[in-house]
Amino acid sequence: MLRFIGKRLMMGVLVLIGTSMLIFVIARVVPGDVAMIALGARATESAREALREELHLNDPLPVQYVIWLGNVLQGDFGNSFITRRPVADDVRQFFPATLELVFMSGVFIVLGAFSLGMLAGKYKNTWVDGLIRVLSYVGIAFPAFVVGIVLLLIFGHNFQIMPILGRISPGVAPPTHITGFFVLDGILTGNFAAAGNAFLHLLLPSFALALGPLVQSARILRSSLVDNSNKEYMSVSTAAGLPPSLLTRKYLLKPSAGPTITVMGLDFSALLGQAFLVERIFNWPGLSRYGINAMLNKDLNAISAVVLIIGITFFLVNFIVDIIIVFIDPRMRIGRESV
Amino acid sequence: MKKGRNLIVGLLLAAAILLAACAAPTGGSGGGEATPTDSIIRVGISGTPDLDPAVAMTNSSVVAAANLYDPLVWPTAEGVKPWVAERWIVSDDGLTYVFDIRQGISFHDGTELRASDVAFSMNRKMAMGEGWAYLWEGFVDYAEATGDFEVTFHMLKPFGSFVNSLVRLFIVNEALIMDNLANGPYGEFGDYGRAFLTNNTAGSGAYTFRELVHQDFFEAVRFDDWFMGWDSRPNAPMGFRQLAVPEPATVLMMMNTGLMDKTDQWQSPENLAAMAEMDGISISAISTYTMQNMYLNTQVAPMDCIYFRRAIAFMFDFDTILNDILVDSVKPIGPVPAGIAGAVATSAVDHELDIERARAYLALSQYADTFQDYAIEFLVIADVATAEVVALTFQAVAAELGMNIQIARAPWVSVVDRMGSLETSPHMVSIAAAPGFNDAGTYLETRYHSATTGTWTQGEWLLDPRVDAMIDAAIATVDEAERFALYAQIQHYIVDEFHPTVFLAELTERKAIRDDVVWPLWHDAAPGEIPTALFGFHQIFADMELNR
Repeated sequence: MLRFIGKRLMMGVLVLIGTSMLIFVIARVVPGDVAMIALGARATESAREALREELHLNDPLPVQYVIWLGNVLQGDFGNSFITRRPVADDVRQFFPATLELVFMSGVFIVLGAFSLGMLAGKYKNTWVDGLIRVLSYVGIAFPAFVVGIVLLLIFGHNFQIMPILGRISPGVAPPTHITGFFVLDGILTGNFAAAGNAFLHLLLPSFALALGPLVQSARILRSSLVDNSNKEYMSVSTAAGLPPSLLTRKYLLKPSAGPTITVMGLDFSALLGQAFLVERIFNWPGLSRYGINAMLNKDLNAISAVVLIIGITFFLVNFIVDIIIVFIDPRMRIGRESV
Repeated sequence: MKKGRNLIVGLLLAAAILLAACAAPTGGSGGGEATPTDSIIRVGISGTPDLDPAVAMTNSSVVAAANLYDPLVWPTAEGVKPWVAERWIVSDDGLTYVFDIRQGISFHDGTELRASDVAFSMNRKMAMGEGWAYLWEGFVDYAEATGDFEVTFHMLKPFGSFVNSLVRLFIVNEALIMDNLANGPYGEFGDYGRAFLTNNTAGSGAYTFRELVHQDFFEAVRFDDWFMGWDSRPNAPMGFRQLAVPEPATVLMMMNTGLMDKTDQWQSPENLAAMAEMDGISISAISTYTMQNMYLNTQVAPMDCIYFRRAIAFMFDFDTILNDILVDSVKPIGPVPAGIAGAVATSAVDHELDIERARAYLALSQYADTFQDYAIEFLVIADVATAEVVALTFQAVAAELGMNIQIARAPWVSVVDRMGSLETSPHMVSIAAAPGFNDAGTYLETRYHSATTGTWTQGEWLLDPRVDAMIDAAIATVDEAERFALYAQIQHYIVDEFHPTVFLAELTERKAIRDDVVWPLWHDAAPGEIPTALFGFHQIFADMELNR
């Protein structure tokens, strides 16, 4: 098991180094004079040259990369041209917002996918299964931003019962910063009004983001449950008189959950990037929106930082998913140990 | 047992959050401590501002600067009026300007604004070389305090409109900035307070910094000791909040739910029409002297033939553009927006959709028999929906004449990059430009002087030494009447001899605005009149009223 974890960590480091090189080069070869974009068309040549020097843009690309990597390893991503402050400060501000949004989406995905998937599996080929199937098709067919706009129209125009924009209402003081997650910080500091307000603000955008992956995972789980329920060991267990709840929980759900959890892990990581449109629609000040703005404005340091952070998160989530699967599925454990 | 206890604790926690959620007010975006939201005006804008007035150039930054800082002089329709400077004199040779500074102006930290702050502000701006510094580059040598309340500007050469240009000189608090220097490229001045001013202000303006959440909102509150006083402005907003809201559907909902009082100017006609249908919302219209230009690249075939360019000017359907696409906009009179000091009407006023005249000019062109062989690239900025509609209407007309128009879309950054060199500049590109201050000469320099080729402000690549010399001479002329006569000559010369641009429209900014907001600039205008104000000075929140 330790060897497995070690191997995965090593692989992750190599992937991250490769990612950092790729994004560093791509960010610098896309069209646009960085100095002109950052300082404006009429900035003096001396001001532009000073910026190029600051960014080491006059050095060869490999030298630039080594300098950049050295700084990044010390937590210094340089300054953003858009916000004009250290990118690290921007990341500290924006990343918790996106992470909180994605985490809440993850809760929706896990709860929704397992509930709907198990329901559809249990009542396979009945109207319940049919209804969930239709809901799944609708959920998959509608992109998150369409769902977001529909929710915005419903709750911003027709029924004004939910907050539709931002992380917290203007009249509510945000909780003291501990983690950057408003709900969690509110609870930790005893500021339940802020926590509750922030929680309500989370619901619509996170649901919009979660709907697609949720129904997709539900379909995968349903298929796995149906497949496994037809296997011989299930017939034997049933004949042996094991209680249905034990059968479902221990002998059917555990082996069926593997593919679903793998897909959920991938979805969770992908949501970090996909959150952009939902963040725009719900005016959510998150890292995805920041990243897109950075790309449109060729904000080199910000682009590199955002991609690297999403890459690290992607790796960590999948690493955790791998470990979870090894734990819940003995076949994987045995397979890896024998290797 | 333990599992059951955890479950109960979890349920209680969830219930507490839900109860608190129900009790807490909902709606809106933002943060900070509790804000009396009814007393602040909330305006949509494309992004959060850069709070350093030395670099401010974007819409949000320029508006913020005009509300947080005081300029040396204030722009009016006729020119400028005293503001921080009470009076001024200029030497006969036009190389020395002496300004008397008003006494009793307080910075936000309570210290008094002095001449040394004015000199510091100019020298800082020139050293940094960003923002509006280009207005004075090559003209201003240095500024110095020649008394506690007297500042002298030493010029390298005369600049006729120098005083008018000082509307862009916002005064910063020297002591505050010097106390907050970080490492930077300016020697003893470090970073000149650049880092400090990303999250602070150092001004004396009507409003003072309260909170900035990058890419979300910026909020400022009244500065009680503002030197202009609040007694005559009892209903002025207690603060303003600039909301960076990019999504049209979101703007629509914010206006509908009362979370926004005024939109930005980039809303589509459809979105504005939807908002106009809502209770308590009207559509305002003002102009900031912004010209929507069609740059014609004069250096590449077939655009290098003046007759071909003349033909192009008669292929735009101005009626449709001004009435249906760039709604409420005004037909331009020439290269300089009407209303800017020194603007004159040129033969460009004759431009209209006239296919026969276009055909006649094409026949005179050296490309009369070959223009069909050229693929003419019409570049539009990707995020500007109206630009593409204009391009499509033009393409349809061009097709009737057998012209091959290729419409290309590119994000702003790519457009700027492509315009950086002649080789990559498109045949045609539609870009809006506004003058830095109320003066035709500097605007003409920005648009047509060879020094500005390779920037987005000039896609024509005029590269004409005579135009350069005429502009240089005019700008350096101190006598106003003489200067304006020279400006007029340049405008006629450019249109008649080069015809490098199709002046599509003087843009009108249309914004949805809640009826409980009084915006004098717009409300006081006569029916049918489009009021004008200089870019940045069109949203002075201290002049507005909130009647809630």
